[in-house]
Amino acid sequence: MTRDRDDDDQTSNRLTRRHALECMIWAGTGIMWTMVGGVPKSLSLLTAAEAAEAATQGFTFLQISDSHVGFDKEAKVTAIDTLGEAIGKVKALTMKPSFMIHTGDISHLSKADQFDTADQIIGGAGLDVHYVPGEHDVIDADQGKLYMDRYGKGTWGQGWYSFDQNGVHFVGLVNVVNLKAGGLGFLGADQLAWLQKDLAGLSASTPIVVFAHIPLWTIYPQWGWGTDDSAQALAMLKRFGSVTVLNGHIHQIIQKVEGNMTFHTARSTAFPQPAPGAAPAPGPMIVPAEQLRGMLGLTSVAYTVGSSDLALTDSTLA
Amino acid sequence: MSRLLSISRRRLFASAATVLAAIALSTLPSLAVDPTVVTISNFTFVPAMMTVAVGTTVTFKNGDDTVHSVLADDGSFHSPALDSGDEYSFTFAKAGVFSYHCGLHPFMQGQIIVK
Repeated sequence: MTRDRDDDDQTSNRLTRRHALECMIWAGTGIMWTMVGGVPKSLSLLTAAEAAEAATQGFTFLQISDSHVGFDKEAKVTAIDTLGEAIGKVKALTMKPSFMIHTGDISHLSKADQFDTADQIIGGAGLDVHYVPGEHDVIDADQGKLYMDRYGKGTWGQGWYSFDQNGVHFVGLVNVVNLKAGGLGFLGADQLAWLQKDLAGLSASTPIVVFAHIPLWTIYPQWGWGTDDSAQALAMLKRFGSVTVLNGHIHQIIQKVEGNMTFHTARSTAFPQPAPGAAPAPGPMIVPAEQLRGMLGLTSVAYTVGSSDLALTDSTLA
Repeated sequence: MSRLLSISRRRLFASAATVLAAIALSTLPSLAVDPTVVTISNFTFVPAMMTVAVGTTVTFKNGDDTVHSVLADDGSFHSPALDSGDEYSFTFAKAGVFSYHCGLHPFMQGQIIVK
């Protein structure tokens, strides 16, 4: 059983809890357990509500991306229509996901009414949503103030943050501000310094989910599909046994597995974009109405206790 | 005898072609491009480089289906978000070389040379 040497420097309280979890994972006894309030509890001590949540050996969340509320160039439908359809599918799920993450380009033009409409539609799913901005969300006259006013609570800098859910550590990064001429996505020194501190105390067996708008690996630099300084972030993540990187921006699914890291981009709920190099530019693909929904969709991510890899399932709006 | 005939036939075709070309060109509409307009087309500033006189107002027009913006690298001008069909004008009061890029898609770059 692996054990982080750094654990010895922690308080005995934290060491015991983390150590206990690691033992449970490796013992594979199949005991139903869950992280409730940060402390493992056996079923007999849980309230009925907590037990219901513990009944599943893990949890599921959804990734939604690139809703572009305000875009209306596709035939017969607008981004508002298809976002509504996507949330309709979420509401129809028999197993409710624990929450959603939105990997940005919530709005098309950073307009207040577009954010309002997006919030209203997405709120209809009745789930907590964790956001990161896309470049379309920070183009108001105050360059991001509207986004921060709405979604910036509890975040740092231009909207980065982390949270824990059921033993998984989630990190939301912002790589769409202060972009340099000729450059790609950009994290910046402040955010990288924050990330270093944020990850420092975690044991290598903690599953990590990182989400950001622009891909954190280089897919197609000619179209800006990459992040200039992501290598530094990825180096900090390399020691972890399970890292899942979820991005948007490119409006199609591209994925890669490298060691313990799985990279995955999601479809948009608004419009598709061409495959790398398949068109002169990465603009919206205007497609016949009957084809559109097959090119839009959501991603479901399932974490199973004891399994190091999170399971990604993409579905379309068709 | 046949060689003389073939030469004169070639000349005949050549002069006929020239006349036809001249007629065709004279009926074409004027293709003059506005020297103060930069069009955004397929995520490209067209023309990528433009030279204007001090005091010229340059207009940037978004001809794409999605949003772009125009940001001077040195911060000296900064358009609002330009939706499809929107335009932004800036008067270049000072001489210099002004490199700019799109704020949403910074791989899109251009330059205005003001003399």
